[in-house]
Amino acid sequence: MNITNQLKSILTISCLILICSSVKAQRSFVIDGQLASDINAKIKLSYKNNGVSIEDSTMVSQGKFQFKGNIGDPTFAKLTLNPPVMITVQNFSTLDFQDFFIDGGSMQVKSDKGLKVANIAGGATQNDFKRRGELYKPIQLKMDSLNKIVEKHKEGGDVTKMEKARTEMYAEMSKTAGIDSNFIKENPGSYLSMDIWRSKHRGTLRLFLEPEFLHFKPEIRKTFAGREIQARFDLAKHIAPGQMAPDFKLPDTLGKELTLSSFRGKNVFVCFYMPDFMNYETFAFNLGRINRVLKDKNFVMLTVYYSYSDKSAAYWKETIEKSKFNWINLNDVNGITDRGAISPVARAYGLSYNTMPAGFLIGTDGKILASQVRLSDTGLAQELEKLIK
Amino acid sequence: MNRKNIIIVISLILITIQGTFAQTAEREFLDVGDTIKHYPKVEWIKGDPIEKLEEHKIYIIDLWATWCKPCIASMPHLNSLAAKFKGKGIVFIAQDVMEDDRQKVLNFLKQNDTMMGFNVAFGGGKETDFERNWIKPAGVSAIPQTFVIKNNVLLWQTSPDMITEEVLELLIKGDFSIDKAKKAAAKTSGKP
Repeated sequence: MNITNQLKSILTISCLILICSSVKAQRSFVIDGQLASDINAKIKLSYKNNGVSIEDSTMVSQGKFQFKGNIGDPTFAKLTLNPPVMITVQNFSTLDFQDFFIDGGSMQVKSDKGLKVANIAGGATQNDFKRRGELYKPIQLKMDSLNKIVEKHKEGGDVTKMEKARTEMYAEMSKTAGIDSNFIKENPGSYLSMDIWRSKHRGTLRLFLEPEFLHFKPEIRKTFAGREIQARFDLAKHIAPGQMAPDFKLPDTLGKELTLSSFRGKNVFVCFYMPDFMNYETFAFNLGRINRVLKDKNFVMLTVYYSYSDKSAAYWKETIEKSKFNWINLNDVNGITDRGAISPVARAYGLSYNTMPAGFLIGTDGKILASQVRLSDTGLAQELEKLIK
Repeated sequence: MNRKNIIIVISLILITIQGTFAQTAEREFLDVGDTIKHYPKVEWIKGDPIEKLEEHKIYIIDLWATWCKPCIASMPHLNSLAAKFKGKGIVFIAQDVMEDDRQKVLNFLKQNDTMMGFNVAFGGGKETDFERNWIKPAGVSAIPQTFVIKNNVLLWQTSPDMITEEVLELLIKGDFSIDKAKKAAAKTSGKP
């Protein structure tokens, strides 16, 4: 390694340490609980620390318990009294639990009965969470009463009335979206607002959404989750129309490695996908449709396969055959896990199980002509056709 | 029979065989831009049977089923368009698909006759002519879906909510493109 390269490495490592230390800044929390004094039982606390799931448990003795831990961002958490080995439909209604948010610092859980009716206090995000809960309350009450009607007609076998009540339930449930939307607008300085917004945009982040994100106050955008969202927007800009498509080298079905740049001079549609998602058949058929419409336009179709850990190696070729992908098929099978992109290709194109399938039309000069396309849109082939010169 | 006559006879036989085969051959794909001259074999349960698609007519073919709630929800919308554009060369067809209980479809039609003021056809379930020559080639795996045909050409495969008065006007004027239709529909529905 020459000096320049050594310097580059040192610089890179220093940057990484800096990023890690700022992003991973941890705050401690203490949760003190006082339930009814006759409660002596196990209690479980589940939460995430900057994306990593954590479970902790302790004993409630004469109603008292305490949890200590560290978190980065404020985090959604759940306390469960007498947690079962497995939560099922049957035992769910008997569970004594409460959802809340942990902020750093001190929190109190107080109840003269169990957890369900406890008051959990401490921290700005938890206050916001309770405020939002109050807004949800009238809807929850209506839903509970409609649910009873559904159950009654289910037992009585009156399908029409059951369906009617169920439709009313869906209508009631859809009102929560409006409540959340207003909450986000009115509380740009709340971490909860950004958390709600993030949960609604788990897939590909479309660039037109960035102004909505910039609506959150800088201190919220600087959290770990905020930086992750910003990084996703930055990546979306790198793979937007007009940008050079990141090159890659991947094996085809015969094991021969092909690069994207070797197709320079041709129009290329690259689609990154995994098998068997909902509406997979429509997606696969639509790829065939795109290939049929563009095949005479100096065109190459490439599909890049990713998979789930439980699928066998042979499943790739089975998928190709079943899907009738009669074009160039490439494989980056271990490039993605449940936690996101692992391989350089998956990282360069911002791929995850939430963002795939993802399609890119690339022009003869290697520049992206279309990204973030709707792969199940039956008119996509015609839209792409217009973009090819 | 001399050699020349034998060749002519064999050629005629081959042409006949080819012609017969062409009529019965199944369509592999049905894409936008493809020609459609014949309607698959279905049972017409309302309106006059349609076998040939006429070149000068516009066809709005809506795929639905009695179990499909969004399909039924869109019927009044199509019904009001059919009433509004009556006599303007547009044929609306509600094509029942993906179910084989004929009586259920007939009962539904009887109960909802006023909501369905257009041609209604029963396609039947799997392995029917409509499934082989329309559903499979067009990649229909979910309904509702609506097909727009003019001059015997498939112009658009879309959903019923995208068929609006403005879209029908574009078709009548001969000014239709998918782009224009999407923009026109978005103006009405507020969809991006």
